[in-house]
Amino acid sequence: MTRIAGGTPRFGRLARHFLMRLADFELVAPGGEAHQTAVTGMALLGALNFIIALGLVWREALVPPAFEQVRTVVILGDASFLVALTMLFTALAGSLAWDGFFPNKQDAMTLGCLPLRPSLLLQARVFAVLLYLAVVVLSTNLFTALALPVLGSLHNGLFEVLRALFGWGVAVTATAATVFFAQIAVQGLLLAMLPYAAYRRLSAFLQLGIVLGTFLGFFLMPSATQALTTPLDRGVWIVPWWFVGLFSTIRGGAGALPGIYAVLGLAAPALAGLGALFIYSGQYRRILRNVCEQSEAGTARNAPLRHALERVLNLVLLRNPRTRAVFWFIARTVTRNRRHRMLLAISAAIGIAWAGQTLAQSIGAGWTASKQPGSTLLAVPLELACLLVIGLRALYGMPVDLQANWSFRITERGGVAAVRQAAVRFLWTVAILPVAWLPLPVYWLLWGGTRAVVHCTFLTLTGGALLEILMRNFYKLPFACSILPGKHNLRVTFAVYAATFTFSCWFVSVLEQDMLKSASGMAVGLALPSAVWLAMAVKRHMQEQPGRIRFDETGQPELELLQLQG
Amino acid sequence: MPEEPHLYTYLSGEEYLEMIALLREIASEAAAPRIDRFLRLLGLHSDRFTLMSSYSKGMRQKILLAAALLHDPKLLILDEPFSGLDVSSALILRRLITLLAAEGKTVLMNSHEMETVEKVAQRVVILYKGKVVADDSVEHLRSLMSLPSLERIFTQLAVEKDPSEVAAELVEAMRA
Repeated sequence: MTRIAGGTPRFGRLARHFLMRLADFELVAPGGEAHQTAVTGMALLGALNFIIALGLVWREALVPPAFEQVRTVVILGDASFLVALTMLFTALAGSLAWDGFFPNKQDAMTLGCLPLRPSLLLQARVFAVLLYLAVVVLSTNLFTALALPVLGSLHNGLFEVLRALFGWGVAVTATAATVFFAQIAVQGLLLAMLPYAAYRRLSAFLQLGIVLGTFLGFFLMPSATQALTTPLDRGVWIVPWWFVGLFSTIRGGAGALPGIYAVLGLAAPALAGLGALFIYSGQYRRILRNVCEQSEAGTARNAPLRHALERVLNLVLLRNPRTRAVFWFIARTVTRNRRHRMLLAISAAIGIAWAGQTLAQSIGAGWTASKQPGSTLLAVPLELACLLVIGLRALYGMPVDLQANWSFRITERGGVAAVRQAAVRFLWTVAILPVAWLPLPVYWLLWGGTRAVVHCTFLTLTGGALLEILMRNFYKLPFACSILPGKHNLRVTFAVYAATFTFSCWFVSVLEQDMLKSASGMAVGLALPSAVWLAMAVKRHMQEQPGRIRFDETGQPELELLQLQG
Repeated sequence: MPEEPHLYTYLSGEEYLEMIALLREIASEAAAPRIDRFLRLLGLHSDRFTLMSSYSKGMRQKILLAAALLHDPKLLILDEPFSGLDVSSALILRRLITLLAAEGKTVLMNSHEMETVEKVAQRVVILYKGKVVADDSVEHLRSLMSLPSLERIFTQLAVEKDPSEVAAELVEAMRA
């Protein structure tokens, strides 16, 4: 191994550096400490996987040993779900690490001047990428990789168990490798072919597309149990079935999927891997040259439509100049900062995919047959609005360019009221009002005018109450506070938030369904969220001490005299 | 105007100045032409839509200067304003400081460029180890200490070792 004068291995240092570029450490652990990040990240994914493994064990207990055919169908369903989950997490991990796969200008400028062989840099980067993939795959499959094959073949002897374990290992690795290497290959190809500025613009959309596409795929993908009855010419287009087929073929036994799925399941990672290898080995220098020589300057030229929208919002909603400044600061941060944009996209993608799944279920249940709105359909906009609002509220707490917040500090006047107003209005403008009112014509067609308008009003009022809850004690400038999310105990809070969100959406939509049945119910339905909203707003006004904007946790600095007298 | 140009680099120069104008409660109608004029005069008009992430240090410094002047302040505090500026921009800034002072505005500037300070400042304060070691006009200091330039005055008051000696030692150390 290559060593520098002090004896520290160069390769190890470089690999660690590239690994840190892949994972946004600050986001997961306090101070961005590598060990903490790895432990917290793996614990989060591993805990989820442990819960799923427990579910598999519980389900296994329900299937009597004699029912082999039922067991086969159950295993196919579970394998299908786990393959989709692995695809989802790998794609997300790839999207989050997007900028770390290839060298950027900073790499070229800092590492390029050091006496390091390009091949060493390339090896260290490839090692870091593979290590990152291994960590993601292991964390997302730690317990289920044992539970699924062992439980499914327990009654067939040790050899079958080992065979199933091997089969599942191959299938999961093939799944993750296909998704991961395909992302790298596509990204590298774009980077090699396009001018750098065009690549940067396109890559942002591609990244968002991957996030949205994977979530939609996860929620809407048909289970592999249907592969047994679906014609092959249609089935081969459903990618996750390839890997379930691979597992099913290696595992053998009754009810195995057609062999063509297994062939595709082996060919896909090989092709994706070759593509990534070709890009890394053949195009690396070209990419490096593109990155160094071409400008990456982005522009903020206003498109006419966007400009018109800005003018309308300025006139209607943002008359106070300070509110206007903060509102557009929030909008530009959310849309242009890569980390914030990604996290918002994940939040929105979960919402859209969840809503899409609910919608698909409703269509399956024949929703157009009745004029009576069902709770499943009523929950769709609520879920979407909630996820958007919660996602944006979480983003407000994540700092961006903290050293630049002096611009706000030196221009601070009139207290925190304008800042809070802008933050709240932004949430209204992008999350609650469009989700609540844009689908009005569809509701109108389905349920008639009165119910449609009441539903939209109900959503608006519920959104208002939700905003009051989420923006309680918010006296900060969004993104300008050094309270990092890594400081929260994600392992606990994530589960609490997820459970509260799921229960609340279900409960409110069931409540609304009952209320929409009669005029008196509608009146109560509108009065209830209004009362909650009003009560919380009054409480806030009574408690509120406008004061100055809070910028970080350290409180107001003390005034220190410099004692400059001679 | 701070020494380090820490800015929100995902904003364009124009967007940043608009934001500062709004934060200073300048009406949009008044701010827009002023910003446009500043950008033209500072040679940034063609880059007004470009995100500041690709601005050079000098360009960012000019944006900071424009932001500091936008609201026509009575007091201007400039921390190392010449750092990163190209020659012509530095000359403009030098004239600008003189003009603003002549208009009756107070300009408090911190700089290590003695030559510039000598040409621009009406009153100079020299700090050494946290203490004021000189506080007077340049002319008065020159005559008081019988030294020809501010640089020599500074060397006398605040430099422990002869700079030429240190430089020579450095060259020696390089060769050792």
